Amino acid sequence: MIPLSWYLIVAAALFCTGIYGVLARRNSVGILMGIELMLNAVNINLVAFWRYLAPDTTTGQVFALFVLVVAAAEAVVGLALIISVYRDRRSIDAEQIDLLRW
Amino acid sequence: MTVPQFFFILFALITLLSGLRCVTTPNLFHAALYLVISLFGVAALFAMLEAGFLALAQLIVYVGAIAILIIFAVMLTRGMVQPSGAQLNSQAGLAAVVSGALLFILLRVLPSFNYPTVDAAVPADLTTRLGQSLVGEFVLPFEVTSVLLLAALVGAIYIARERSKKTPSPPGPLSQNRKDDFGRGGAADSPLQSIAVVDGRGTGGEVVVKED
Repeated sequence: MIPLSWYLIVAAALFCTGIYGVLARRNSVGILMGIELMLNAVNINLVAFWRYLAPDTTTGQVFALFVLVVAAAEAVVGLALIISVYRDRRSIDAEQIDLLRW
Repeated sequence: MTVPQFFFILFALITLLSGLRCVTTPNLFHAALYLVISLFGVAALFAMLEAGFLALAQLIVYVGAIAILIIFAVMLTRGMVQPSGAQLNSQAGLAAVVSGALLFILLRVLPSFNYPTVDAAVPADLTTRLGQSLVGEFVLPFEVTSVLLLAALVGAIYIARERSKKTPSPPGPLSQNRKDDFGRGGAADSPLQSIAVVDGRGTGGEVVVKED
């Protein structure tokens, strides 16, 4: 049997990888990829806890499923925003998108 | 080391290494492909956790839909960020320190938790119970999710649609700023030329700046 902590370690490493991608990328699409990695790490945690703590219920899987749906909606709206900004500003560099900067 | 442990380490390494390449590779298209590999690894981890339905949903939603969407976005915005140019912003070093410190803290804290794991088997009719609980116990969040998806659909179409050419945004200070951002120094003084800059979707994705 694989210990639960192995899954938690993998999820933590994947989450930190995603955080680095979000913070360090210039390209907005790259930032979105980092967010997807972070959401996947969260899902690994949810499913691992479901499997090891309460496998006879469905709560953990339902939660992970909702995270999946919200991630899909977030990706769609985020990419639509990026396309719109690209059409308007001809750039998707996150450092140059400062229309709302005061 | 048992066989499941070997496969777990294999899938975990695939997930983590391709995830790391995804955030560090300079070529954004390669990053999208690495993201696909990483998502495959996560699906394999779901399968190892005996969550078969979630593993399949992961493949369909992430690998099938979101990855294609991201690749589309990369291709649509291609040429803006050159692969040879700097892909990391000015705070990349700080970002590495922050994420590394977070990983260090998490790895230090994790072993101290002692979760009461149960050694029960997954019920055989798990997918059936999952579907029943979605329309039973969790019916309200399920319906809210459908509203969210509808809102995301309408919102994405509204945000990303092309503005009609009959009503261009009026030339003003904004278009002047845009002209400065291009750094092309075109003398777009008359309103008509400003509109051409604002609405400039010329051939080949190039901005059309008319100069007399």
